Amino acid sequence: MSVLELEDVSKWYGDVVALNDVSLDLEAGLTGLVGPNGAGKTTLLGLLTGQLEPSTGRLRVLGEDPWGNAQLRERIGFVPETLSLWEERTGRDHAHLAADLTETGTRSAADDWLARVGLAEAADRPAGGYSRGMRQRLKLAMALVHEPELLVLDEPFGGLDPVGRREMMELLTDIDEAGRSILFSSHVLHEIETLTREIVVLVGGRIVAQGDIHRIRDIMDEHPHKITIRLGQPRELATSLIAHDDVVRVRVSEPTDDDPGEVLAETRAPDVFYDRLRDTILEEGYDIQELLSPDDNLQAVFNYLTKGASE
Amino acid sequence: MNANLALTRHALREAFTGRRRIGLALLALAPALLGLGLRRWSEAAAEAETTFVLFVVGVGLVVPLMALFIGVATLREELMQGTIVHLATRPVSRGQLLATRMTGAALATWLLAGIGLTLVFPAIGHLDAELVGLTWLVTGMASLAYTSLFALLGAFVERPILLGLGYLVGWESIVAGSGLVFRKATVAYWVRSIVDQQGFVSGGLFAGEIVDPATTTTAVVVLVAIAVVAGLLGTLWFRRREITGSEGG
Repeated sequence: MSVLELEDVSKWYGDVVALNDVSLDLEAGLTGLVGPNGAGKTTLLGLLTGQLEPSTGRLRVLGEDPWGNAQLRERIGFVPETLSLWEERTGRDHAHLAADLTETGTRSAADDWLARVGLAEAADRPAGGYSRGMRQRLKLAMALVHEPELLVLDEPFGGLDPVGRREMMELLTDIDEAGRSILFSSHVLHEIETLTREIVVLVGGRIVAQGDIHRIRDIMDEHPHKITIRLGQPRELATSLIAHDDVVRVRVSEPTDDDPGEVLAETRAPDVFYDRLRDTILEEGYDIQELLSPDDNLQAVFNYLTKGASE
Repeated sequence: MNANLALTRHALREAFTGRRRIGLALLALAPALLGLGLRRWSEAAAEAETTFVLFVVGVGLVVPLMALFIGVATLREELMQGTIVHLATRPVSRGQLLATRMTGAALATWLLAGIGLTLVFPAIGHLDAELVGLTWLVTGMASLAYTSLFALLGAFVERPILLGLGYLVGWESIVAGSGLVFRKATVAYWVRSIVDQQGFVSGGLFAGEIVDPATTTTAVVVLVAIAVVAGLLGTLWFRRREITGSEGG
């Protein structure tokens, strides 16, 4: 069964369109929702968790309409983006309240989750003194006290330092491995890439891509792929590269006293290009100092998709 | 713990958080401090002074003000601070959420005002068990009706404290004591009816005897009805209200 089904869902606030005719079908598993700030990610998650009502379209979460559906929320855990907590209340108070408001959650489960997210020692301190990382972890514990089938997180890495990010990623990996479906949003692609290959890309209120990161990259391969080669003899290498049909463009920066030269090549067949480049380097004995391809990671896919969608 | 109990307890605790706690404590102690002053000023202070402090100052002024400060904050603060999302995404209905908020806020007002007004008795040095019972009854009824109304006000309008003060001074205090038919459209008329029916003086900011007081039973029913109607109106609105991230920061 699909975890999420959206059919032509739109959401607007007055004249502002936050989501525009979005259709989506998500199976169980760990999925990343990626998009720049203002893309509509929080609106989409708000619709899925019943905080917002769609302006048009049909929406199903675990087979049910989430708007006004309190019972469905027994099956969903939500970690909101806001860091707001009840400042004078302890972490344990927060987790216990979260458990008390569910049928399946218990206070002992809440204590267990506090320990699992690393807040056992700080649980009896007022939340007002919690760091951003502790707040994120507390919100995660609150969302999990009733062992929901679906966990939805809005920017769970927001404001976390590198250690906090790593800990949060480990927690999410554990939760995923326990068989729970997870949908989380982020505008930092590296975070999503580290956790999952399944992504939904949302830009300007529209879904511009969905599926396996590598499949989305295949789409990229139909478009010129940029490769930068820093070496002492850029003009010679450029002459060699431009002779091939798959290379659509070559730009040369001559060496200076401070910098080596640089060749920026654009190719429609990156795999062929790399094989040939390796052979050329070996045959001609070029002194390659650096080889970069900004198109080699998801960031490039994202940049391409977001640029294309906004044009 | 049952969800309704947990939410009510949460609302009760939240009523006394932050800087509001000090203001509310001072407000609660004001009648007792006034009673102490009266006791020092007049050795003969007894029932008349006690009922004046309890019903004119306490029920007529302190309870509505306390209900205003607690009531407007009860939902408004959660909405403004963004903590409402932690409640609204739990498996509880919006109606439950609002009803328990109002109940918790009314309980907070009742308990604080009731304790504050009970301290008037030792402060003045006049203890009357019947009067203590009446004080808790009237304070409870006034807390329920006023807090529910102000909770609604806090959720709907931008400057609820200012509007609430205007309502108390401009409508409740003046109209309730008048002979106008509109007097029955005030909370004060029904609250003061309970006190007047027991043969005590009541009043508000502009104290005076009320015209044609209702029976105690009618007054209690109407005050409960005011709270229920406020709760139903609030629920109708809150059920359709969307929780957006922008109000939470």
